[in-house]
Amino acid sequence: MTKRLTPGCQARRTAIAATLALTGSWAPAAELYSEGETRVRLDTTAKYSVGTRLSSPMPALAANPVNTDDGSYNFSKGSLITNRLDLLSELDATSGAFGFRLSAAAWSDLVYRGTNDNPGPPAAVTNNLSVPYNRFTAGTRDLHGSKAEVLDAFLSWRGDVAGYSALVRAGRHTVLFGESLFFGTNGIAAANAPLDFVKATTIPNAQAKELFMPVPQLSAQLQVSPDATLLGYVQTGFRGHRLPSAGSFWEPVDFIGDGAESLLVGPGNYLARGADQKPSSSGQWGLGARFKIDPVGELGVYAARFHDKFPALQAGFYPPPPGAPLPPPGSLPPPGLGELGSFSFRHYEGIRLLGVSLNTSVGDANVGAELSFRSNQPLISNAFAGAVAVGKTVHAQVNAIIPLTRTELWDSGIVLGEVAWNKVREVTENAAALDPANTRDAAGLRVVFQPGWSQVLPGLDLNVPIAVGYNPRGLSQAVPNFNGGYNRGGDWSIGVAGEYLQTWKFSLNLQRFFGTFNLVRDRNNLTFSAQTTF
Amino acid sequence: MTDVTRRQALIVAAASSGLGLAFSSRAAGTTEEAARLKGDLTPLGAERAANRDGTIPAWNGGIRQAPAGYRSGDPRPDPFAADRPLFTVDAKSLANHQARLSEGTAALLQKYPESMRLVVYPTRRSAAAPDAVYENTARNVTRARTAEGGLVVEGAYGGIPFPLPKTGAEVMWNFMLSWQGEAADVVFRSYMVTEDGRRVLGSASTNKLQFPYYYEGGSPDKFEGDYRVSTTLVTEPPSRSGEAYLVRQPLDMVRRNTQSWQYLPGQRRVRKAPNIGYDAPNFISSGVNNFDEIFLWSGSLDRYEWKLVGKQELLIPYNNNAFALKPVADVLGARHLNPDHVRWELHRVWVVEASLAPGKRNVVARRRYYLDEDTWQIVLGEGWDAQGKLWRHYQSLPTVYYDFPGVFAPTHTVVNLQTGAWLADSVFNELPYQYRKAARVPDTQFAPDALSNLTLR
Repeated sequence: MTKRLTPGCQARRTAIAATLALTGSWAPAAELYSEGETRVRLDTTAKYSVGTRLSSPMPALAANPVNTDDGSYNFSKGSLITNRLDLLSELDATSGAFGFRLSAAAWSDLVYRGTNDNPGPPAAVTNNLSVPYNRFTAGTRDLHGSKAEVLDAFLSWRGDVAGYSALVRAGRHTVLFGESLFFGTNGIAAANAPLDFVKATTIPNAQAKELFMPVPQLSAQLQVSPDATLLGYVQTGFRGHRLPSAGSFWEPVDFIGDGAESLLVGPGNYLARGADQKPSSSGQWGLGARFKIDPVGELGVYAARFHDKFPALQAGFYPPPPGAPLPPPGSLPPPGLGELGSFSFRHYEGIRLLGVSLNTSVGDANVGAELSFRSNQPLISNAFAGAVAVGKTVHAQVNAIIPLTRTELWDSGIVLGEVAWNKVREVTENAAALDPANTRDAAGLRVVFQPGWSQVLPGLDLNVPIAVGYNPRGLSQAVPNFNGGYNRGGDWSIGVAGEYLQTWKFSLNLQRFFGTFNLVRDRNNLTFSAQTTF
Repeated sequence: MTDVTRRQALIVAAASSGLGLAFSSRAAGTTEEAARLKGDLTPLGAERAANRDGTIPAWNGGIRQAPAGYRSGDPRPDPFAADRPLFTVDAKSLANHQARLSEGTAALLQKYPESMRLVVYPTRRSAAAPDAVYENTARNVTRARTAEGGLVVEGAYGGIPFPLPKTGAEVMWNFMLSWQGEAADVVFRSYMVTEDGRRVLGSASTNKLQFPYYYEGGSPDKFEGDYRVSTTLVTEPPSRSGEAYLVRQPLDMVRRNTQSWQYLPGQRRVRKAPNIGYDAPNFISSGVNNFDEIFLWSGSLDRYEWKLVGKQELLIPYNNNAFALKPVADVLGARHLNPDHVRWELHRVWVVEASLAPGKRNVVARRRYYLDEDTWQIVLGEGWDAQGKLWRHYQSLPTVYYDFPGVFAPTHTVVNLQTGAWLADSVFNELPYQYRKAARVPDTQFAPDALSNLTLR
């Protein structure tokens, strides 16, 4: 694509030439200290995101709407769904063979600090107990509205062990196995690290370094030859997925997350939030080996033991007071009695995984694939059953990263796609507790097609990401909220993203939902974000 | 500058380096040809003698000795600091020197008549290489050959593969396999200036570079196929800090082609990169150059037909040690390098032209490259778009790296003559070390899993 000088451009450029000596900086922006083998750098990324809802709340999207509708009713059409500033600071220090990394994030979302659009009874009944219907509970307000946390905090050492090149890390960090691109919870990486679904849904184009949450662990990598590497880790603390909290725009249901207070079981009756059962902080580890096999590619084999990062719901009614008559079986309690029982969450422990992964080139494309088997995997169960169904599952996924060659339509670009499938091979415990709405197998796909243009205006590079996610059969028994939890439904989005002078990035994204079974079909939205790193 | 004038300036060298078309596989040379590398040719294949009017002197071994007390990686003092300029070429005096200017250089002089000029110094033939490189180059005459129409090199090792080239493809392989050391640590920056004059730091990176093709004590049998391997850790801009790349370039560009792996902090994993090359825009420079214009030429030759046009005397940048000693702000001008800090000399160059091969696409439809006869570095060049309009001006800065020894030209510029955007790449000024000779490290450090060792991110 060639450019023509516009009239007037010439004169402007002569003027600019005279001032060029004053613009631009030559020194590296964020290197704090650099002497001999020691280097310290600090980078901070600031990001502003704002989004608005494009469709009105639809009543009765779910079988039990009263426990799934808070997130929808809290935001009317045209309201802001996020108005958020994020800061991510990263401090990296290396000195010879040793390294230290500390990263921290802080955020503030004005949308969660004040009142919301919930119309209140009789139009909508919220699950709030401690705050009025048009406010967010304290837990939700804190998680979504204003929080700061430490992410990575680890020491690393690299050197030679018995002649082999080794890398050891200790502290809070992330180790990822496998080749998953979009479907992290279906793949081998499900064993390694929890995800921050709050950031994934709230911030468009968040990177994995903000999404996979670090956990305390000791990990090591040993390169035994140019073609083979051994990997392993032992985790010393458990962390579950961070789910959007009750009442937030992207909450999966009204009774989950830090801010969940009640589960409604009839007009004026509810179960109160009890204490969650914390899983053991030990018992999670992984081992792997990666081989480079010309000309096939790279092969990985992995074994891991982990605790489920998704919470499993347990609920129960209080027994009737001694001497009181038992209610007839199958009858509903009379309305207005208030707290009738409690619910809490537990994380099932001791899931075992074996998996293989392959990464190879097919033409210009890079292709990754995974196959893994799990046993002792909890399956989606009826919360009131008092037990969790457990079984053996199989998971597979294939993905590709395909560069677009230059054409008349675009300068460059990329296509990313992944297809995933899972199936319950055998139910080994508590088959009666299985939730009948979910199916033994499930499949989904996600594709992003992103052509790009360099120097559309001086200094400005643009790309247009067009994405679609779809589940032909999505109510998986094995993986909660598989690819958004749709069934014969999905989402698509189109946006414009750009980078200016390699310093400022922005993105505008329209997202819409469709399909037969899609609990978020009414959450069509438009989001904008801008960020810079300094 | 007309084609007639250009042809008058061409000096076709002796029969051994006549015209040749690309895509013909050539058999190896003869022992008589190899013997010329000790006679009328330098050990790397240049004409040893001076030119007729003495403006290009004879080659007398080049510079193989670093100044006393010099430590590799320190800025390299100018061995010719005492030289005074002979003359200056600018837009007004261009006509007097037309025959010895590349088309792109002339276009740049005419586009920026106020600021652009060439300061021309006496020619100093400083090129040199270790004895092992000379010996291997002589052996390559009889053992090296191309295959698959020039896309594969077989039998060559440790020196210039085709010191008496017969085809354009062989000349390009001489550039790709030119002597640049056995192993080096490099830290560099690349800068880009947009069409409207805004300077951008495209990237700052630390590079570990090795040339298995030049490993001491190696041979064609022991050579494993990748002639150049490098790992790069990006440190600037901050949004890219922590990205790491591994690139391995093979002698067989048909069956293997360049392989690269990337570690992106966003992915937290090393993944083989999709094959991006040819005229895909280089994202680091926001598309001011394409992937195949990195170091002025990179990658597989297969999109073009390469014609060896011949040799000529040309004014080229040379012996530019002084350039790297200055602050960055002094050497980068508004629209081109600051002419006060670029040294030009008259040298003999090989001329190669590339036109699109049948059925192939590349947005740069035609190119011409000029390679210094003493070092086989691409020193100048131009590119044309599909409409036949002059588009790119390529230039590098050959510099005396006496600690290796050799004359290398990693620092280079690409100018878009139509929009005025340009980039300067592999700039070493003001950095802690400049292309430092390194001890060779095992190949495990150039394997994909070694990339995650490079960064904490």
